[in-house]
Amino acid sequence: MSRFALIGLESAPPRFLFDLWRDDLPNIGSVMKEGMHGVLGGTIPSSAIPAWTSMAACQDPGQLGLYGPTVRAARDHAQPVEATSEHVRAKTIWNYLSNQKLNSLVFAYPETWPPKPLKGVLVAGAETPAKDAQWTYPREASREVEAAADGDYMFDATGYGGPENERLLEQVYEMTRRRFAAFRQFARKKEFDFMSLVEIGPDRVQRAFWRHLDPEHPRYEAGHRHGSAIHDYYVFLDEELGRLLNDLPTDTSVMIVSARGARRSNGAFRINEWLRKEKLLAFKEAPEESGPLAFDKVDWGKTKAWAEGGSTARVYMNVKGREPKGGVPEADLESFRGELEARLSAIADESGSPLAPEVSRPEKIYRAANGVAPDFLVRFAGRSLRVSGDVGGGAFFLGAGEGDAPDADSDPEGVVIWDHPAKLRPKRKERYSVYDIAPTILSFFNLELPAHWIGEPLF
Amino acid sequence: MGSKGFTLWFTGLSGSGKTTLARQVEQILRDRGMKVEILDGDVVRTNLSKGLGFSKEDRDTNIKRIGFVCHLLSRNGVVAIASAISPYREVRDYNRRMIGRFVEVYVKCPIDVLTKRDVKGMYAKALAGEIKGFTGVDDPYEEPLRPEILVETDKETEEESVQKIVRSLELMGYVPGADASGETSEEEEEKIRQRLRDLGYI
Repeated sequence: MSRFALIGLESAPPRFLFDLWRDDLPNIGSVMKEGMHGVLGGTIPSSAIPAWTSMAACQDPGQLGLYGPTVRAARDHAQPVEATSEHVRAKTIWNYLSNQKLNSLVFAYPETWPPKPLKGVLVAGAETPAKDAQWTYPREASREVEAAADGDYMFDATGYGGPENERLLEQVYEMTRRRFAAFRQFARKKEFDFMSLVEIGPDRVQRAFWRHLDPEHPRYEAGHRHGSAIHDYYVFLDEELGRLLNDLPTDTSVMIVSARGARRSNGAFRINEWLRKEKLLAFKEAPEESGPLAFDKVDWGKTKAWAEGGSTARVYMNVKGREPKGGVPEADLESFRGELEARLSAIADESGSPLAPEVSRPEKIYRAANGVAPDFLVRFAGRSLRVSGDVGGGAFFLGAGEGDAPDADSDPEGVVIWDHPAKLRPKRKERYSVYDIAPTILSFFNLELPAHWIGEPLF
Repeated sequence: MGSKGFTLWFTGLSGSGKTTLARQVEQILRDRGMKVEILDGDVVRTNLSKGLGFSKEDRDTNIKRIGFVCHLLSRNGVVAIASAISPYREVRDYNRRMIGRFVEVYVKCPIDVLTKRDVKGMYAKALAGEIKGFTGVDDPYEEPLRPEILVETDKETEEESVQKIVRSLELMGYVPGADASGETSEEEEEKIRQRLRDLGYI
């Protein structure tokens, strides 16, 4: 085999593919049967960014300086910005392949907008804001993508809401069908050594319909007509995958991955609202109703800490001398960090039972803490709670499905399924790592692994 | 996609950072799938120009030979990167005329900074008179008058210089790039654009 296809199923959890629906997904099953499969341990945080970028660049979030979907450019009081490809300074798999004159086809890989040059074709990920900015590399590839995608390639499906999220469901099917059609069109040309497609659809349906799947979800209704919405989408996705497998050049080795999985979300802990009540986060004028933390409204001189929400919260302390208007004296940095971690760890729910969050420090879990690293991270996974960064309204908890809280949360456990060439013998492991994917691909092409990469090939 | 070749010519005093910058730019262009060859003055003197000395004639011959190879590579779709002191303006311009698709990078660094840096210990020897005909000490260096790219290695970080070179090449259309400026700041982007406008490139 001389080509490699990396098919990403965004947020696909091991349980769906390996246990629950194994018999209903014959094409994924065929890749599994021919090769190896296992759980893929991901990053903390398990948000799309940094998870997928860590996979492509084979470095941990701290090394990449990417701790979540937003980035702080400096230790100042400016609102964090959405992470884009411009924040990815590390080389990715396709940079190394381009360097060795191998052709890559990269479709919808997270955090690839704006598109950066490579040898091959790149279609930017779901974060692409609109088509009036360049979204393919080379630019002219967009015409061919559009033509193969019914004239309107879709980056993402955003039609949440309405009584039943019906529109979203329609959109997701349409988006997936078009993306696979466009990808097949390019893959059929046999021009590419490395082909990668990441389908965001699984994540979107899971966020909207998990409540109908999981009897333990607080808003589960038995016998709901969307009871099989997620299952049915996976069956559809498997059929699309089947068509793609047929169209891939015969000398292609196929790997299916998810850089992260998913789990039920019972709601959210509103960390900034809690910090406000604890008088650690102060405002020039108190927020009247619930909304995102607006940095220009914060009274920074009186603020000691704030956080960015997500599946894992990134907590930042506001330290005098480090931040322009720090509320924590520099000498107290370490003691305050310990105190804040302890106070968060002691939080109980409304019935008094402790939330027992997992607290981790960047210097402990990463090999470096580049860029502006959070002072610590906190995750309430034991209670299946996400963390909301919104403030206002007074409540510390958001119930399942309240506000814009999704039904599903991300989880650091994804999958790897690889129909490997017979001569390559994969190592047997309980659990593989998101950092093992890039080394596997470079080794597949007999290329030397960069010394600073942290994973190892699967074989 | 078939990008055309061109020559990227680094000129500047010994120790100014030509080779370091050339190697970094080489990697970035390779990561974009381009064919790149480096002709390093020090290396070329061990093969292509073996036996040549440091008289003006020999220096000119050396630079013309490097230029000739760059010409062959460039016209065959390769990015030829030359890194040589190339102290004489006339012969650099001779190469420019021969090659056509030629981008001059002046790697500027004041002699007193280089003397202090003196990584190879050459300036100390030249100043002590142990080496004769050392460019910048007792041999002339003729600054480029209108280089496409000017990097000042005493004022910029290595990364900034590399970004400036790559971004300039993108804007000139020699290197495929994206719409967004990527790594360069807005202020830096405007400076680069101004220089290229002044030179009539954009």
